[in-house]
Amino acid sequence: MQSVRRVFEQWGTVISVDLRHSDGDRSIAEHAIDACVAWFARVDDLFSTWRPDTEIMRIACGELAVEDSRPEVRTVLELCEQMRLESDGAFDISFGARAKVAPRPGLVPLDPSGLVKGWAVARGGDLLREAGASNFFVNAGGDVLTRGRADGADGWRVGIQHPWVRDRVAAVLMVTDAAIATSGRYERGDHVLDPRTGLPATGLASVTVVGPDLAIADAYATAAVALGPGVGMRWLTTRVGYEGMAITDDRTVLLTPGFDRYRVS
Amino acid sequence: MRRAVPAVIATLIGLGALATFKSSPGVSARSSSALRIKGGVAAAAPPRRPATTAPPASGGTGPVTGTTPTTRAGAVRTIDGDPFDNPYGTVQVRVTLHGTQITGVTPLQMPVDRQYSAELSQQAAPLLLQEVLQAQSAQINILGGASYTSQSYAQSLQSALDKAGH
Repeated sequence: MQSVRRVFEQWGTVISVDLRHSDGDRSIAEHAIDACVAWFARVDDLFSTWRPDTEIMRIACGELAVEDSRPEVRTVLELCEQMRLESDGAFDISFGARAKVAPRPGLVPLDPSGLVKGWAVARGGDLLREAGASNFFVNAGGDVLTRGRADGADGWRVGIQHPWVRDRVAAVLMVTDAAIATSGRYERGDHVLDPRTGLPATGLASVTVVGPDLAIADAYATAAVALGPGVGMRWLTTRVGYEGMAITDDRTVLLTPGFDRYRVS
Repeated sequence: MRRAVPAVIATLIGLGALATFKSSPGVSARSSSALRIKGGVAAAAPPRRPATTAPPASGGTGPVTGTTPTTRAGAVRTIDGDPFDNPYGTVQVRVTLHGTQITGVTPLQMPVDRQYSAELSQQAAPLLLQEVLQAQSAQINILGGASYTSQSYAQSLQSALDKAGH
């Protein structure tokens, strides 16, 4: 097996696409990654909250009606609404529009970025599969999609970054086809706000969610951080098909009952 | 299915409390023990009854055929209960003990998998587990959870992971 890897900057973070293929299939692998990279650029054109001309920003300022937006945008907004209802408001892309939230850089009236990255990577994985790839991973700023397995292994070994010790991991998971999303305050400071209060979420340094779909795992992780250690983790145990691991500010690890099925250390 | 929940819970509690403990030396305790969450985090109190004095469960968990493990006080072990069939499927749990005190119960097999947790949460606090945070260095293929903004850092990191993995 050969490996084709592409590392590039997108959405203000770094994305790695790593694809294992048989000898002679290199150009197919390169084309598959090209399609994936082009898709990610399109997602940025539709959803970036850092440029005024994207569809999401035009919707936010009332310039574009949701029903006139692209199907991808409507799909994401519907999924976000589903997540808001499921989380009882802990995941809410429109909280930035409410007056009680103090303005700060990057806070916009409509911000689906807690779900878009995972959603886009999941669709990117579909593109890679359609192009014939069966063993690959995509790592988009720490949110990971895996398919198949590494060479000579039963799956992929995914380390979960330790929040405070840069060269250590807090856990190692063994997965084949999986989505692993992490939300938290480490790496980028205090960046999860509780939509219900507008204040920074407290109690949890990070939440990692494993499950079948990266968009949902991403939203669940964001909601659980906002909800905090007790309510958030208990809520996660009720999410069918998804398991979570939280690291609290006082350095304990909270696990949903089935999380150990993925964990090797 | 909803009527099945109390029976499943009873079975789980029964298994957690006594079951047919199969001492399995191959299953080593994690360096960090699995602890049931206490107090403000999860509502349910952890089971405090030593395994040796637990009454038989009503959920049809079968006779106690194994010997309850005895060890020096404070030693941490994990023990897998035998799998048990009930009308709804197979139930198997892993129990963590401090000495003879059960401090954690992890389901290994559940009849309806996560639906069990979803329904249990309406009955009682779900089984959240708590551990001490570890800082490990391990062979991995992918580093999740870390949000880098530098391409070169990511590349360097990934190459290091590749080397460690081969």
